[in-house]
Amino acid sequence: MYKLTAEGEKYLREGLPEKLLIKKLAQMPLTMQDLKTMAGSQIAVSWAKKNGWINLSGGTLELTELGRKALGMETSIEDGLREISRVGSTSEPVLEVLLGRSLAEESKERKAFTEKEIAQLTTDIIVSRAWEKIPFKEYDANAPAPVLHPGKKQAYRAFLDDVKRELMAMGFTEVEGPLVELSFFNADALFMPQDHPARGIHDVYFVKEPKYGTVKRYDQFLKNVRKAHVEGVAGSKGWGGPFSEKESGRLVLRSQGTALSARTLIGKPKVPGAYFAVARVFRPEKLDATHLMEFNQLEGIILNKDVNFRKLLGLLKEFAVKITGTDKVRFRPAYFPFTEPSVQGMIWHEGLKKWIEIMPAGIFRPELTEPLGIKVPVLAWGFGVDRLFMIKENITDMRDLFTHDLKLLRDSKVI
Amino acid sequence: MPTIELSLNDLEKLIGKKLPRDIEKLNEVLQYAKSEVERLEGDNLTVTVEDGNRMDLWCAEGIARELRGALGIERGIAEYDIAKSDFSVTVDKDLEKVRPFIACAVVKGAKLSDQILKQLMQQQEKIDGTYGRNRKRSSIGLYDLDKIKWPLKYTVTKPGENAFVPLGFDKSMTPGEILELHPKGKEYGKLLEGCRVYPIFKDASGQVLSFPPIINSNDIGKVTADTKNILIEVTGTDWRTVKSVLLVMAMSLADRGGKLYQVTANYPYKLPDGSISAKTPDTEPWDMVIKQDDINRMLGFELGATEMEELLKKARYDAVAELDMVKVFVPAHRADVMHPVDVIEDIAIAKGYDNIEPIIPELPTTGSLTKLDLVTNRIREVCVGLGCQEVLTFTLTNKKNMFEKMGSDEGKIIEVENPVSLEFTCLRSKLMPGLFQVLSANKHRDYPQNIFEVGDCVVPDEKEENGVKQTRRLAILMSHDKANLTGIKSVAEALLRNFGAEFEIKPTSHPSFIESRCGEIKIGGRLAGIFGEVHPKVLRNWDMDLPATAIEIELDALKKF
Repeated sequence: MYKLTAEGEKYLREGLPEKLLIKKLAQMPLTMQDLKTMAGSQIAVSWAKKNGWINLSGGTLELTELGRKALGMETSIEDGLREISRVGSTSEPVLEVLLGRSLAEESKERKAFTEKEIAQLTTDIIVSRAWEKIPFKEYDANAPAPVLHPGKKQAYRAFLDDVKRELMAMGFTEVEGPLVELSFFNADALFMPQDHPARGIHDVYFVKEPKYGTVKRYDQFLKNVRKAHVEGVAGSKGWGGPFSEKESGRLVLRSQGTALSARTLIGKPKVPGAYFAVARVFRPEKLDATHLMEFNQLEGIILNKDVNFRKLLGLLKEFAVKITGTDKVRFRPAYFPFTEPSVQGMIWHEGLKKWIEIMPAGIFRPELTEPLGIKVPVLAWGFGVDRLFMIKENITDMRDLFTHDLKLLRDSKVI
Repeated sequence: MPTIELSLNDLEKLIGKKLPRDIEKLNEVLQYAKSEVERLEGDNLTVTVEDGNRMDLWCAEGIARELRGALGIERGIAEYDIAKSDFSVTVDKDLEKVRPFIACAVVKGAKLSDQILKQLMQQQEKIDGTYGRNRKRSSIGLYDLDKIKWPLKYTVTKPGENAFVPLGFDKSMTPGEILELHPKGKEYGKLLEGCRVYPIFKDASGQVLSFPPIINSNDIGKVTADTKNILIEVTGTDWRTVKSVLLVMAMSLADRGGKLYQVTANYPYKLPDGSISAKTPDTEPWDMVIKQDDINRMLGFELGATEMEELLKKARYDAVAELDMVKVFVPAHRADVMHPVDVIEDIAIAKGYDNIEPIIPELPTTGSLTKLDLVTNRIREVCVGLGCQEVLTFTLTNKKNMFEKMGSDEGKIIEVENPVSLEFTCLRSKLMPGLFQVLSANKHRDYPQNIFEVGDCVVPDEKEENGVKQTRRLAILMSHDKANLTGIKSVAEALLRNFGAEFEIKPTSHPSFIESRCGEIKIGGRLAGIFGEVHPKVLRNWDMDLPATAIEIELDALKKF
């Protein structure tokens, strides 16, 4: 057993002199002259030099790279001081230095262990070999132990992590975008007419202030998109209007993940290219067991010369296998303003014994791609990823995805 | 998507064939009309039409028409005889700025019943609502033909003139009074906001038929199961919509045994096609030439010319393959067809989606996650390592939670204009209030309660194109009987050291924390976060009984993504 000397105690309390020196040096430059007035400066300089923390040039001290690093770290000597003070020993090489610097010395005292049985093991008992003579108190592994709640990831987020990894492995690049969105991306660029019912107050949250953002950056695209709506492009008749550029700047809370795909297309994507996002979206719904006013969509696109509807169906099938673990997939016709042909991918739910609509998808309309400068077909999909998780975990109340109940969070299984 | 109530027997009568009673099997047939069973109880069948743009399918007659093609009972464009007539409507020039378009049709001898009438009203309501944009783009009116004196006038009136008895009322009212007092007037009055004159539809004897798009007359404008002959009128702001909605309504009545007669509308201004008169309903199809290659390339399988023709006729187009192209005749009521892709989808539907063999595409790309996501994940791992349970909370919150309960003054925040509940009125600018909300619901659970969240927050910022600055933040809230400044400082320093941040910590004061038990975190000289011992008044605001400490850090300050 060892104990600290008075000097060792002092350093433990106030810091090692070499450490104090470099701390000071980090704040202001010092010369050898300055150090003369400082107590213990010789020890400090000699150890700091030995550690390679400082350089001496022309009587001025300079902090080295090593020294800078040491500023934010505990050195092994500091650790050693603490350990000796606490348990009476430390590792061999550190102990050698401490003894050499007279910061520690051997201690003769040892508390004699006088109990008849050993309950909690202590350093004293271990080192003194008292356990060779004194029996251990009997414990019972059947006795109850306190419940421990480890830190862990939220189950739904952990599922989203898995989904992202899966998509990355398939070759998709993740993209991100803003929660507060220009109507230009949330709807116009997606070829949703400005008088479309799903652009109204019952389907989209509007920002109170500021009401309008700026679409100036996208001027050329805005002109193209306007033309697609009013007159039609790429051989289309268009919607025939109305189209107001002011409306394009109206700020909303992103109501569909496809807004992100529009941003991706405008940002010169790679061809061939495959992109995805888990996008938080907002809808003015009353919160209840089957509706959230805020949820996640798994949104993605593939751009390539040779993609087609059959490959889109294949992709959906692949997703079903990779994400939900079922290959029982069916397809139904569907309608979305931005895709044609469109499809609803359904998976068979063994528990509910029914087909669940979970994978809306399609090929982006030319009226969407052409104004954004895209010359190849684009497969697009936006899944209700919340429902995928609910199906997987047999969750019936959507609010549980964002639960405040610590018990539910703590009880969730990680595997 | 519109939900339509049908009688299964009625639908079968219209199709001319029995349908399966098993829902799965019924769905397999209905998918050719883009419809899906919601409920089937005896004869009552409720379906959702999975197409917000194909209003021709929002009725029993339309679904039956489509299925007659799919089931091989009929093929090609459905034919309707429309007799010429002298019926005419004159349009007043003042309508150009108010509600410019009208189209009419006459139907004689339709055999109405309560069931058919119900269908008709439902069709009118669904089309007016969604497709007609709540009567703005188009609205439909039906009248008892036998009470009408030809020719008709679509003209304007001052709000105080042309009083008539509106549908469902027993006393005469002027259009101005209707907007003020009649439920429909109150509901749709905003469509005429700012107009000094209102549209009015009258016959040769001066009787008012209706006040479009608000309300019909209670007399001429009422159709019952006993009505023999009907006038259909559609007014609106978009000619293409007005014409096609009229045709769809006329086709439904023709499918019920009615004989159709044309009505000529004479305009004092030009229609979009340049003419000044229009005979409606107009069933003249228009044509579109598509390359066979384009069809095959988009669908991903090889269809021969004959098969293409057959599938198109099954989908109720007419088609002729010529050389490497196919000329497609699009029925006049298909206003949804804008581009060849719309036709190509119908070819795929006619083939049957379940008859298409999927192929898994090879992706010649390599995947990656965003830097933001990667960094976020590393940070979450450290928080888990510190023993914290991750939580996920909503971005939407309210000002009371954000400011008042945190004991702080109201700061700048993004509010929504149309909140649905008082609970969710704005977007969070910080994560910490969300964590307090979580713990306030868990007083009876085991302690220590240590939780964290990494998430996005927004604050107004006029420099950004979308008016907000969005930042990713981390917050930790720890509640247990020994929670104190030293403990939370250790956690803050452990995080920052592990994030590789060069940071400074300085004492500060903040209304959510106890004075002198609060520190601010600076990274690269910039304020990046705060930590401290939560003030008991804040704990009481959240109904919390144990001490708590908290940290919030703006992760953008780390400059790692």
